[in-house]
Amino acid sequence: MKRFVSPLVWLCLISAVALNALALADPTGIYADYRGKLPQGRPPIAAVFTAAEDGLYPWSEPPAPPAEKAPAPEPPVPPEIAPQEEAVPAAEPPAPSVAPPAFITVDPSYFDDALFLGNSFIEGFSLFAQVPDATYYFQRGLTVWTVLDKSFLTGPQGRQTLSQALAQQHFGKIYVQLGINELGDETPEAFAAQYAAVVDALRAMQPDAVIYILAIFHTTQEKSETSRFKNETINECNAAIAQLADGTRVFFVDANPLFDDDTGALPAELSGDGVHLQAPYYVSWRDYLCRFGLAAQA
Amino acid sequence: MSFSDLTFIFYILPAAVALHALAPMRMRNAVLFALSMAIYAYGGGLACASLLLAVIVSHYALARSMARARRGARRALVSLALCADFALLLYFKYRGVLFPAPTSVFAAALPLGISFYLFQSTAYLIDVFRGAPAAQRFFDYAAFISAFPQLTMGPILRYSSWQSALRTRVVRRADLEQGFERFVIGLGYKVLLADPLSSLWAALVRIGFSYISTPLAWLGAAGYSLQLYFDFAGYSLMAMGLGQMLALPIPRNFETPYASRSVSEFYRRWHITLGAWFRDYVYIPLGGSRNGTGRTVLALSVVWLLTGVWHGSSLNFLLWSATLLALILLEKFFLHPHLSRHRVLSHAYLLFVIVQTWVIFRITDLGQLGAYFARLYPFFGRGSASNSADFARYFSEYWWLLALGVLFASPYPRRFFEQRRAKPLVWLLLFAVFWASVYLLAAGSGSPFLYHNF
Repeated sequence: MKRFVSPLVWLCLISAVALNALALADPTGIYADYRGKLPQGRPPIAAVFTAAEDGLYPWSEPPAPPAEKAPAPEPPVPPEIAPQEEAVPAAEPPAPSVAPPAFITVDPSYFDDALFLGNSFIEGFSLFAQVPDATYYFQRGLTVWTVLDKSFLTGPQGRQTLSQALAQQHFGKIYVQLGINELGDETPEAFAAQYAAVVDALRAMQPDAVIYILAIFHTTQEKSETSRFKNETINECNAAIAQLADGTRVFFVDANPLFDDDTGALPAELSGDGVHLQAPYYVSWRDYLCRFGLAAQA
Repeated sequence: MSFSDLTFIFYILPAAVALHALAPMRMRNAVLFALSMAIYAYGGGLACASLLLAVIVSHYALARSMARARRGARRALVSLALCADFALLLYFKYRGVLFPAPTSVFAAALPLGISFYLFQSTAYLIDVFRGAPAAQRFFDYAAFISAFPQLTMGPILRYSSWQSALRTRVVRRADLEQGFERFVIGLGYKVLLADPLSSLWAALVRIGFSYISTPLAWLGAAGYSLQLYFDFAGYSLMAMGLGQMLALPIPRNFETPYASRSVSEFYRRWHITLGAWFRDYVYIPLGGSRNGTGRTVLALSVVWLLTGVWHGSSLNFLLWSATLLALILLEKFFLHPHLSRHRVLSHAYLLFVIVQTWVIFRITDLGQLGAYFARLYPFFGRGSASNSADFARYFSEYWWLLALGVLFASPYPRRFFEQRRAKPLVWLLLFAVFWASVYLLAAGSGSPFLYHNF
C-alpha cells in the first residue's frame, strides 16, 4: 500500500456518504421536514446542516408533533393610524390624517426606554437614525420564524435568545421590524399568524411595554419587478399584520407613505440596493415615528 | 454550474471523476466532452450549449483545413476566423448597449463562459497558423475546449499544454488526493473568505456611497479587493484541483498578486493566463518592448484597451483599464528605479493604487463612482458621512475576516502548507475547511454574512 499524499479526499468521501445516509435513513425522524424543504437537486446532506442551524443535531430528541395551537385572541378592529391614501415627497412628512387623539408628536428622547427589534432595517436605524440611547436587538436575516428561538444576541454569558435578553431588561416601548427576509415564503395569513405569536411572546415577557409593529418597507420598482421582494406581496403582508394592532397596547405604523413614489414603490434615489433606505433617510423615518408618541409613555 | 454548489460538490464532482477514471483511455476524451457538455447545458441552458458546440466544431474543422492549406490560404482562413470570433464576442458583450431589448434566444445574459472559451479557441487557431500541430481527433479538441473544470471561468489554456495528456493520461491516486486538496483550499477561499467579505461591500451599497465616512470608504475598497481575489483565485484553484483529479494540467492563475511591488508585476501575477494571452497574441505581435518606445506604448495601449473591453461593456471598465495603462507606463518610464530600490514603499504604493482601481472596476455607474471617490478623498467636499463612527462599527465586525484575508493573500500560508503537506495538521485543517464551507453553503440562509440577507 502506497502512502497517502493526503487522506483528505477519502475522509471527505466517507463522511459525506455517512451524513447523506443519515439524512436519508433519518433514524430519529428529525430530517424529513428539512429534506422536504430542500430545493430540487440539493443533496440530502443539506438537511443535516439546515437542521443544525435550528439547533437540531443527529442526537437531538425528535420534536413533539405540533400541539393544537390555541386560537389567537380575536384582534379588535385596528384604528386607522397611518395615512395611506397619498404619496408625499420625503422632504415633507405628512401629518397623520386620522391620527387618534392618543398620539402626540414627541422628541427622540421618547425612544430612550425603547427597544428596536428586527432585521437589517433595525441595524440601519441603530447606525443612522441618531437615537443613541435606545436599545437595539437585531440580526441581518432575522425573521418572524427565527426571532423567538435563535440565539442572535450577545449577553454577558455569550449567545442569548430574545427571551433570555428580555428577562434582564425592561422596556417602555418595543418597535418590531420584520418580514422582508421571509417575504413570500409563506402565505400572508401564515406570516401574520407567526407575527401574532411573536407579539404575544413580547407582551408576555414585557407586559408593561407598548408594541409598535412597523410595516415592511416597499422596495424600488425595479427590485419589485425583478426579485421575490414584490411590493404586491409586501402590501398583502402589511395588511395582514396591521390586523394585529389592538389600539391600546399594540399599534401598527406604516412609514411607506413617507417615502413612496406615485406607483407605491420606494424611489430608486433613496435606496442603494433597491430594498434598504440610504443612511440619511433613517432620520426621516425616526421623525415619522416621533408622530406616534403616546402621552402615557412620553 | 458553480463549483461551490452543493449539487456539484456532492453529485457531479464524484460522478464525473469516477466516470472519467473508469473509462478506458480511448473513450476518456469523449466521456469528458459528454460530461462537460451535460454540466454546461444543465447550468447554462441548451441555447448556450448549442453555441459552444458550434464553436468547437467550426474551430476543429478550420484548424484541420488550415494545417493542410498553403501559407496564403492559411492566413486568409485565420484572419476570417478571428474576425468572426471577435465579432461574436463583441456582439454578445455589447448587445445590451446596442440593442437594449433582448433580441435573441439568448435573452439578455452573456452566454456562460464565452469570453473564456472564445479566447482559448482563437489561441488555438493562431498557434496552428504559426505551425503548431492541429488536433487529429475531434474528441481531443472538443474535450480541450469544453472540459468542465475550465470552461466557464478559465484559466485560458493552450492546446500544446494538454496535447500529451489528451493522447494518454493515467489518473493516479496521488493526483486525486492532491487535486482534491487544491479544490478544498479554493472552496475555502470562495465560501469562507470571499462570500463573507462580500457583505461588507453590500453594507456600503445599502448605506449609499455618498454617506459613508472616508475611513469606511477605504475599508470597503480593501475589503472588495480581497473579496475579488479570493473569489477568482479560489475559483481558479478549484479548477486547477479538478483538472488534477482528471490528470489534466491546469496552470496556476494567481501567484499571490497582492505581494507585488508594482502594477506591472501585479498583472503578471493576477489572472496570469489572460495576461499571457494578451502578451503572446497582441503585445508581442505589435512589437512588444524591443522596437522602441513608440511601439511599446502602442502595444501596451492596445493590450489595455482590449483588456477593458474584454471585462465588460460599461464605461467604467475602460476607465479602469486606462488607469492601469497610465500607471504601467508611469512605472515603465519613471517609477521603476524608485520602486525597485524601496521595498516597503513599493508594496505600499501597489496596495494604495490597486485598491482604488478595483473600486473603478466594481462600480459601473459613473455618478456612483464619482460619489465613492469623493468619499475616498473628502476634500472635494461632496457627500458627508451620516455616522462618523461607521468605520468603528464595521471594522469591529470585519477585522478578523480582513486579517485572515491579508494573511491568505500573502505567500506564507502556501509555503507553510507545501512544507507540511502530508502532516495531519494540514489535512485535518482542510477537512474542517471542507465541512465549514459545506455548512455555510447549506445553512447559509441563516448566516448573517450572506449579502442577500437583510
